[in-house]
Amino acid sequence: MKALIYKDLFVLKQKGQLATLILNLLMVIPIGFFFQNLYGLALIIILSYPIGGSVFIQVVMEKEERTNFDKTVISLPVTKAEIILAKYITSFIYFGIHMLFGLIYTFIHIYVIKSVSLEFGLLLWGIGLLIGTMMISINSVGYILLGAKKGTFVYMVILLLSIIGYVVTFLGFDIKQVLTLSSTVLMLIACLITILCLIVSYFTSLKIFTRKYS
Amino acid sequence: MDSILELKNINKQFDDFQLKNVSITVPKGMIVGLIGENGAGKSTIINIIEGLLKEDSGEIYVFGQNLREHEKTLKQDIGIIYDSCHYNEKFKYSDLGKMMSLVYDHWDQEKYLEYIDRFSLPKNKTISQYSKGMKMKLCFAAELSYHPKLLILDEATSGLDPIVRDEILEILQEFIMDEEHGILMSSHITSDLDKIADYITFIHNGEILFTKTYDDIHSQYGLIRCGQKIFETLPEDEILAYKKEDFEYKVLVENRQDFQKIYKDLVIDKATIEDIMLMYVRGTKL
Repeated sequence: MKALIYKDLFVLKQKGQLATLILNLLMVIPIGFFFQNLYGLALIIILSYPIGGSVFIQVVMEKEERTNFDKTVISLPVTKAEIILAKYITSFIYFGIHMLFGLIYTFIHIYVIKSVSLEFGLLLWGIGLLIGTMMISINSVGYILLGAKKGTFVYMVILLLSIIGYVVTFLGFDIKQVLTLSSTVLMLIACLITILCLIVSYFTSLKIFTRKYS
Repeated sequence: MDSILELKNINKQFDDFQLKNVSITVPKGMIVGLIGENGAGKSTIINIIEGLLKEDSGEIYVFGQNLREHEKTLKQDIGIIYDSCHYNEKFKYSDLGKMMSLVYDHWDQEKYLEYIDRFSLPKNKTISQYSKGMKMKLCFAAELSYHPKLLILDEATSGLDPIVRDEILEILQEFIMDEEHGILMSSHITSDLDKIADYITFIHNGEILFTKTYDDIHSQYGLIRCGQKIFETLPEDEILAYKKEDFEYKVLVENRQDFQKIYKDLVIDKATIEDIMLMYVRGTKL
């Protein structure tokens, strides 16, 4: 399985991909400069990073499809479960890099810009984590079922829904009030749903992959 | 004789094609050539062994162990090479070596570097910058460097020039020299099999027509070229297949020497693997 993770992360060593990652991470600089408020923080840690960070599987699968790597991966001494698990792990590593930058950005908002409190900043960051995890769960099934090209449509739909969600939530309501009402309970419920989605996503992906090769 | 690979009564049904009771054995120290026309089922068999497809029924044994029950462990000793390279095109030889070392317990980096040098593969180029021959050599280097016991080649020599093919055939012969290894080699290039195969398995329309030693094929099968009058005197039950051409009949028989004793004036050539394949596929059976 380590070999598959190595192979997937190798993509990051390729010129264009590394530049995309760096650009994606550095977009916080202009946004942070112009939007020194809660909405600027939210834009990055619950929309931009979770969405951008969950797209790695598409990049990897596109490269695999180009070389028909499926044929080789099946011949390796790894189980189908390990093949799928490796895809999820690399997705989370890529997402983790984004969210680590997101955490640093959150601390800048808390301690330098002082737009949010520590508790609220971390709560937002936690929401970003959950959103990204949900995105990975849904995207992975979409890409494994439909392939890199058609799977992109699933990603686009989720992206659109997320943007609508962001606009409605942050510009239409007083989000602070909603989140502080019962933030602990809300987060617990959200965590449970996300973990459940991730587990269902993994087993669905494995089932699809196994059926594909039977 | 100990077998390295054994397929027992494998069946696989598709909408428009069926693999019927396929049984193949690769004995230790032997090269088994799998021949057949396009769509005969060669790649389907290899895909089933590899796990890209799952058999409807039948069993596969590798080194005497059920492949489906011990797939992960047994694959440590199986090398599969296709007609093209499926690794990330941006890999250099060193990246591929790194990846393989992470997955194979017996990865031998020294051996790998030996092959890289032996094949004169450029070390600073990516796979995408390699020629077709170089890519295939890299695949061979990678697959041979974890010391597999069974090598499966799916048209691995097709598209290569005769020099590279010859180099690869030489390596395959070295591979089986210690009598502990075996090769299943599917190929359209029957001349390659003429050079190295110990057994030939002929598949046609999803069914194994025969498995024979190369020596038996070489000594038994004959191709008669004759006119209509002589053709009509030939015993029908001895004719495997025939083909009527513009000025002659081509007749495939299995007992060349017996025929030669009876028809002393008849020209009976030794049938090559290609002759046999062509006659079975394109000829008429009585």
